[in-house]
Amino acid sequence: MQMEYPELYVPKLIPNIPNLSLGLFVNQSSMMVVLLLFIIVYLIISGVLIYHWKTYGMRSPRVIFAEAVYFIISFVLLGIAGGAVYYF
Amino acid sequence: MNFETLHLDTDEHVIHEVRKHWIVFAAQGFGLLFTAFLPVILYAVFKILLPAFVVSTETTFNVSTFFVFCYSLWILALWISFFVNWTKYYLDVWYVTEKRIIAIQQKKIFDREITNLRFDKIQDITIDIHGFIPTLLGFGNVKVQTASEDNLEFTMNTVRYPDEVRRVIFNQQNKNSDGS
Repeated sequence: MQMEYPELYVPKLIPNIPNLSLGLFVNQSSMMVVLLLFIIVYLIISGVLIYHWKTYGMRSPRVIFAEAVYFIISFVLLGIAGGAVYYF
Repeated sequence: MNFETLHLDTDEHVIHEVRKHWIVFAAQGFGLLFTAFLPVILYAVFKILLPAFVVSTETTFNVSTFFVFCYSLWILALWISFFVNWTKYYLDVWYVTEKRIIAIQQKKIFDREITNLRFDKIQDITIDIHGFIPTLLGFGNVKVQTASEDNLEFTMNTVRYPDEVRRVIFNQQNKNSDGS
């Protein structure tokens, strides 16, 4: 008859970090929430910037150019973030 | 350009704009550029120091797509910050007209101060170009002192071509005193 020994407990020096399970928090819906919150903040700050550019920018060509560059690149980045959520 | 918001007189025009040197803004821009690469550096450090974490995380979900998502939002946050800084830089300006200096201080995005300095009130203008790089790139501090009872001082730091600013203001002040 074979005797059964209890498993020897070996303490882990380094905790198993993957078992923090990022997968629990990272999913399509949580990413969508983060993206929506980010868009809200983006819209508020953009509103403030537009106000300053329109009120104090004095229709300077530099301000108009900056405005165009700001929005084009922002929309590209938001598109990338949205695409990442879609393909996740 | 449309200077309606400055409320100039009908016979008044802007003859010179005084702004800070672009190097001030470029320094902030380089700081943001470095910050833009920070997640990539952190990811590389993680991969070297905790390879098990990276590998096992890759099996639980699509890490590359998640990284693209986080990184695009990170870059967007820096992009917004860049334009907030640019707006503060661009709107911090002195307008020199035939009659006065309109000093606009855009300290923060919601902190704006506008002061008018009549040429007859200006007592002295001091410029200060200090150091190798300011001398090389031609920027320094301009200080305008008024002869009013309060003896106010108006200073703009790291101004582009301060010599020219002083020359324009003195020329206009002389023209005004000759005319009166």
